[in-house]
Amino acid sequence: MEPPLTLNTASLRHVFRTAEHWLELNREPVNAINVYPVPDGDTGTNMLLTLRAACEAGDAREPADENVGAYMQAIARGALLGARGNSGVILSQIIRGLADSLAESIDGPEEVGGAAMRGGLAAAAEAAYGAVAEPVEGTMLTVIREAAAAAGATPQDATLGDVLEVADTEAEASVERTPTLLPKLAEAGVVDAGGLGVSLLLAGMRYGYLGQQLPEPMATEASTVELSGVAHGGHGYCTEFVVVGSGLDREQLHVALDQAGGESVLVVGYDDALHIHVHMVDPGPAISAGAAVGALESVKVENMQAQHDSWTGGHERSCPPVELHALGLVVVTQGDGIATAFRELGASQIVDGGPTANPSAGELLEAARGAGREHVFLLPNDSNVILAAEQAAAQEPELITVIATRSVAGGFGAALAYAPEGDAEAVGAAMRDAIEGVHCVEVTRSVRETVVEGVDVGLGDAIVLVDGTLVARADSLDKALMTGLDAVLNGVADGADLVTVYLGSDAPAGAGERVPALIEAAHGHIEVEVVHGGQSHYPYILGVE
Amino acid sequence: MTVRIVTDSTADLPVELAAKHRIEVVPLTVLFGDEALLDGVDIDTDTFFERLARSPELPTSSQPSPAAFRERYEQLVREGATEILSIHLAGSLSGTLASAQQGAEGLDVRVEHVDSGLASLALGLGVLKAGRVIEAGGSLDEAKAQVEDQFSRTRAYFVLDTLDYLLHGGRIGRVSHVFGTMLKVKPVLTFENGEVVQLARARTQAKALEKGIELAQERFPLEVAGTMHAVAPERMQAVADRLHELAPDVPIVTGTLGPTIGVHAGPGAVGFTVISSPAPGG
Repeated sequence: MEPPLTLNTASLRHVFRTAEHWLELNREPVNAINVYPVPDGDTGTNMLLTLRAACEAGDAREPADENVGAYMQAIARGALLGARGNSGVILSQIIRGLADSLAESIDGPEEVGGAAMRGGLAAAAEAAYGAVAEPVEGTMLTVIREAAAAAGATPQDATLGDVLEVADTEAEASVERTPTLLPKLAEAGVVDAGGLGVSLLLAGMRYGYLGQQLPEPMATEASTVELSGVAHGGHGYCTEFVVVGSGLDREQLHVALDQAGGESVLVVGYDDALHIHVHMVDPGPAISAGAAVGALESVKVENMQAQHDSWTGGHERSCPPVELHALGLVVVTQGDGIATAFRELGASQIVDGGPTANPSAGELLEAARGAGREHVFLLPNDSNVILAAEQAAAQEPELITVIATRSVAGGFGAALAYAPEGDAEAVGAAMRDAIEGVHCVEVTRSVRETVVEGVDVGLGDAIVLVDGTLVARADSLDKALMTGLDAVLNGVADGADLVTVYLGSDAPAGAGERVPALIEAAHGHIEVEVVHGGQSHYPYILGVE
Repeated sequence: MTVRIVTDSTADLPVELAAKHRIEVVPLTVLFGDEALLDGVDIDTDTFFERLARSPELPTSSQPSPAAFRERYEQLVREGATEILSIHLAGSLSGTLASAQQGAEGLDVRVEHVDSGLASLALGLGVLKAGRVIEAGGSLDEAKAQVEDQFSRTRAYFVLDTLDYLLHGGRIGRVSHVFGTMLKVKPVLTFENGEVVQLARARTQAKALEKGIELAQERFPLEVAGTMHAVAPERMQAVADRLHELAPDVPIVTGTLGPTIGVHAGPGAVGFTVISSPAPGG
């Protein structure tokens, strides 16, 4: 069947329904790459639900032969009221711009042709930008603008099919370019999720127009996302609601939300209904500002930190550098006490991570980029982090040197030899040398059944690792600690004169007094220092030197 | 021409050694509260550290007055000195050098001053060098040139048991970033351009001294070395033994940190100084 030259209300309905279906099929791939503005993994869902609300509002206006302008206004209003999230609100503006334009400039009686679609897309782009106080390029704004511009450049007599094809093709290309415009995307190794959503919308509309069967959806590639690239501006709550009233002043409400400390503020809609989207530490003032001007509907408040944590696995945390030295020091560790000790030794960035939460290469790269003026040393402090550290260093070989520490104790050895200025090569060599003299004893409880040196280890048994290798199980954490210490002392030719005990957050009560006494009783010549490391999973970590 | 040598008490020269080489030592003052004690005159090293251990408050130090230098210079002139070489503690660490320069103003003999940029035995060994040049019949200019040359080949290494004294005395310089509350850290300190700076750091004093010796080996071969301590003779001896092992033919002078240096280094401090051999042909 040949595609029609123009669209009437019934065929427009099919076009939008197909777009909705196409977005639904690709929802997860979009969610998976959602890193901007807040990495909460719901862009695909939000755009889909917004488009669905739009289509449902259009369907509710039977009969099907109602005029195109009225149908478009219906879906625009449906999108506005049903918009979800930042991306949904912007999508609702795209639909509204399209609707307003089509309602005004329909080619011929009640039908949409090429010229109307050209104008509609241009208006859609304009409306999208109008929703955002400070437009950021490399986002869905860019994609709709570039798609509209390409469509606008088609000849005056271009058919609807031509216009949709050009817009769709350009949108796809524009999505691919988003990482070049928005560094966060490049760091995360993704294209913009919202931009992809716009491209899917246009592709879906075109499939609907052509009456084609939908192809296979995209694959979900969550694993390729570098979590670290993900700037996390979103603390507090994402708050959304609709205010219904009369004579609503969009500008005024926007200003009120700004003044209340709102971020990512979006206020869109009509004088009788506004959709509000705002990020705030406390959602209360935002809701009050809305309630002051009208009746609230569809109030939705989400904890962005919780969203972010569930999306990233909760392992991104870095601290801003206090003072940028020529030579920076980035340390991967966990435990507040241990992190503080590393900072006191000069660490400019701490990346949260350890045996159970390995940071990604991108996360390390981002931390390193802000850590030193000339060169940065990276201490992975865990054998499972070394590879990611080396991947990060491979991205910036001139900037980053990995000092392959496999434990916290080794990390402290290296950090002691760190100097904030000087010859990077010499400092790096000194740090490497310094690891040699420090051995690490880690005491934990087994999380699985296994066999160590012919000994069965049961779930929850106390076990001890020396320099990352499981050496024994014991009846208690204290015994495990002493067994590990003996193993180190037996293997060290010169003996040891200092043991630093890092107490974990779940160290047994009284360990701070008991452990030094135990060690001093067995090895009188050894000085023992106790540090409240605060690390999880490992009640005791010992540095033996 | 009769040339006499003057230094101050921070050179940590034993009294008999100074006397032997006719070196005049102008004392700095150590203050316990309001009680002012002249370093090496009113209080000796052992008494100082005993008192320090009992003292509820940390002592401070103060430079000699210009008048103190003036009197000493005038006395030397009366004894027949026609020229004076006055060699002192780093001018950036103390006003001692400035006092000495003021004290020499208007004097009708030539007085030359040398800023060692150093302290303790590193300074003292330079003063002894000047004494020997003069004893051998050298001129003031020769002595001054040789002393300055020796200071350029001198490096001092200190490892303090605690940085509290250095902090209290305000001579912390660029060492301040090593302060921490979580881990004990022992920095290896030196004088660089008259400032106290950190060369390296370790977790124990023994390891820090080991590190210091490792760094010092870059300056071998040596002409002479010195070791010193504040109530830590055994740790100092270990350093002397290690230096002797590494440089068997090099004379090693040992000494104690006197009261003024003790105010800033605190008990338990161990240091050593190395003086590289002059470059061949130089």
